[in-house]
Amino acid sequence: MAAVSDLDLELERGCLVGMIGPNGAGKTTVFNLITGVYKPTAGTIEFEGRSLRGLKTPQIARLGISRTFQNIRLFKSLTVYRTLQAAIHYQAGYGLFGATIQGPKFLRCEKQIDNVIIEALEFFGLRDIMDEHALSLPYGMQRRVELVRAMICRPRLVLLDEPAAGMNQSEKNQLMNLIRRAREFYRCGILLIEHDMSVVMGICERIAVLDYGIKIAEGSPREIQNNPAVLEAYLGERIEN
Amino acid sequence: MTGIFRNMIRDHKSKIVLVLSLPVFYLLGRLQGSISPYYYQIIIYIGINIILASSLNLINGFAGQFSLGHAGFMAIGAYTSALITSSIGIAGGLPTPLVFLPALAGGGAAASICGLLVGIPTLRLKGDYLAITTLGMGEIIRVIIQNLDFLGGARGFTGIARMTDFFWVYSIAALLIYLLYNLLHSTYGTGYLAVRDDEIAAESSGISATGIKVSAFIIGAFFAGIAGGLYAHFVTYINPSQFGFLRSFEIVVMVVIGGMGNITGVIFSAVILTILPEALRAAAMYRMVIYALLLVIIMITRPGGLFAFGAGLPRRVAQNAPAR
Amino acid sequence: MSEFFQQVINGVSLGSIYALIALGYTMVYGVLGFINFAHGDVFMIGAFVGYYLGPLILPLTGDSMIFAGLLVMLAAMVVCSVLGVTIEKVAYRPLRSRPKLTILITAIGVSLFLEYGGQLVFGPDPKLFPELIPSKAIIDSSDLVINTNSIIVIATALVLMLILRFIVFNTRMGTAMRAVAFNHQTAGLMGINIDRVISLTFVLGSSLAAAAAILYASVYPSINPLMGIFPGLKAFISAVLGGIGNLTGAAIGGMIIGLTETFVTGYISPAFRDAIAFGILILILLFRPSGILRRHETEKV
Repeated sequence: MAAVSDLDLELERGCLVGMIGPNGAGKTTVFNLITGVYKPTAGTIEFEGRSLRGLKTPQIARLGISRTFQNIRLFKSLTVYRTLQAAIHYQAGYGLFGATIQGPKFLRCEKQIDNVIIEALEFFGLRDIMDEHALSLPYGMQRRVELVRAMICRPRLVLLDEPAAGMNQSEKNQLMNLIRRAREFYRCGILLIEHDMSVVMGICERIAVLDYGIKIAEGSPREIQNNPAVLEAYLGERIEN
Repeated sequence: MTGIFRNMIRDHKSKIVLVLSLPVFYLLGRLQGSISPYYYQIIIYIGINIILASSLNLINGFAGQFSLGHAGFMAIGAYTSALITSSIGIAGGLPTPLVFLPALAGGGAAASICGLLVGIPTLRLKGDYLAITTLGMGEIIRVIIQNLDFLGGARGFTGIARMTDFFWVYSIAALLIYLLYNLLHSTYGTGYLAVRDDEIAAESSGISATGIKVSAFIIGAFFAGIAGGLYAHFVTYINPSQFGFLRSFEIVVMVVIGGMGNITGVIFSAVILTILPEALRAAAMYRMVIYALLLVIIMITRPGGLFAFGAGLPRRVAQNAPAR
Repeated sequence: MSEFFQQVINGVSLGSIYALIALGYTMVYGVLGFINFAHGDVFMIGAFVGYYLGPLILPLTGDSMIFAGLLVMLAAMVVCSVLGVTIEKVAYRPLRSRPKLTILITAIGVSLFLEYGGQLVFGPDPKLFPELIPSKAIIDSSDLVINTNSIIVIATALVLMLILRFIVFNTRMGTAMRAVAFNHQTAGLMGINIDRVISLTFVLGSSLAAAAAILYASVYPSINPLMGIFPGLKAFISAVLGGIGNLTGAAIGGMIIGLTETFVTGYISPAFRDAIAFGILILILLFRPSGILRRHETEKV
């Protein structure tokens, strides 16, 4: 039994694509395949002309793909500020030696990092709570921190795994706004998994539908809404049109 | 003008403290003659334990890797440095620092190579498995040394030159603390904590967990090896039973009670846990029972460490971040 | 040939003892997710219970060894169960939500407490365990010498393991144990009393360790407060070898370690007795940490 067996998906630079499908359709598995957490048994995964097969997760992240997680995975003991530092870690510009000696190069890099972090915090409205422990924040804020963490390293593609889970409608509206603005500001492509149709239909330019690991439809929000195969997958009965 | 000066101090705070501490330690070291050998010994042991506990703190506390074989690294450093000084010999007429420094460095290097060898295969092991493996590695090192006759085997290595003194121990301890402090207060150091907290999330953010873990083991082992060298050149006689599981465990206890990742906490607990057994010496047979009992009680009542005051980690990191 | 068969019997006998102890490790790991370092010392306490009670019970049963042995074993099982449950309640339960290293340290602390406390209370010198299991040599036609000792050990261990298997797979409590081992949270949500299940796990594990102790001390009658260290370690390695968390694995692992140890000390050199187990441990951890019969513990992302 395959988690994902027939998926052909192409994403252009800067796109905003949604992936939907009933539970267990294999959506998170796709994310795990892209980020190297799982190894594909067949097929290709290419990013900007490079094959991602066999690469380890950090390598893939450094190529410009970042993600958020279905069950938020924030760093247990870090403040919001330090969480973002962790995300910039690989772009620090100095290594272990520099960190211990702390010469002029270190100071310059740290200043730069500080600027980038503050800028991101301000953009996402998290400036005031930057010294709070990330896990002590309300749920909606935690999701936002995870979002910033994924964006701050200026990736070319961001994978968002159910970013609207557990939010009320007003929070969802804020989120949609945030995603739109972030995409503009950071100029990245977004592939998002979401169950909430208002969010998906609200911001996605294109939608792919998965069921039992197979892509059963792809198109604009309008096309997907009227697709009988999609309705069948969700409702489990044939809709005679 | 004064603004620039103040900024300079702020930017190089830790460096200044380190540099200033060296002459202080040198002067303190000259006072050796005025205290009894017994107290002097305790002070030396405190310093060595600070180095051991802090180096383990990097592996366990910062990078979150369960290492129960730290005494093994210490043993390698002890024997390697002893071999070096015995071979070069004071007969060469070389001044002590010229002999001691390379010996210590050699011991540290040997230990860190071992740290590398231990670190790499164990990388994919988690939690308990890693603990057991490092425990096993520590024991294997001990057994190997025990069976090498040119190292004295079970009878031990005697006749080591006494080169360790207050200045050596405490300046090296200060250097290590300086290193850890700087690391903790840098973006680079945050990478360690991220790996400790959530390896998968850290990797997804581009941090190489492998690189972090291996570097932690290498540096931690290096300083443990140096501590071993300092120890060997103080007690002048070493044998494998001094570096067994119990020793590793004592060091782990210092780190856990001090608070993992808590630099000052671990220093304090190293001090206390070095003095405590001496204080309890009068209790003879009861000593270890009390130690074990106290340990369990502390673990149950204050599992975050005795010194976990407040939020633990410094909130703002770079000490040079502009004031807000 | 007959010597070979003898070694096999010895190996299986030793292996059965390791298996009994290993089951305790594996059950606790399955249900609580950590290595109970103090288990080997509970084993040691069982032996001392036998040492003190043996001479008292023996005359009461009219010197019938088997009967006395049985009673002593039951008594040891009760004492060790109480000990195990107490340790869990006092030392492990408060730390259930804490990082694993904390519990590990506490377990080691308890272990040290039992070891050094034992030296204080019982005295550090070795003592001779009373004979509670008839030890007669049976010689058959082909010069094969089998000691009744070994047979009884193997038989007893087998019976106990079958009883355990019955409990775990055919009773409600056993099913509850398996549910908790599978997933704490869900089991709790389904109305299972986690605390009670965990206590039961410790009762079962400690009882088996106590029984193992009586059997072990009957074969190797010199007991001392530190006697639990090496058998405990080897039993733990057996559990890891078989796949920690897996009951059948623990039994198989125990047999393998017991047989290997017997053959290596018999045919190669007795000096390697303890090193062998360590060697096997390093090999498993490096090449197949999940053990022979794995129990998949993949992290959900």
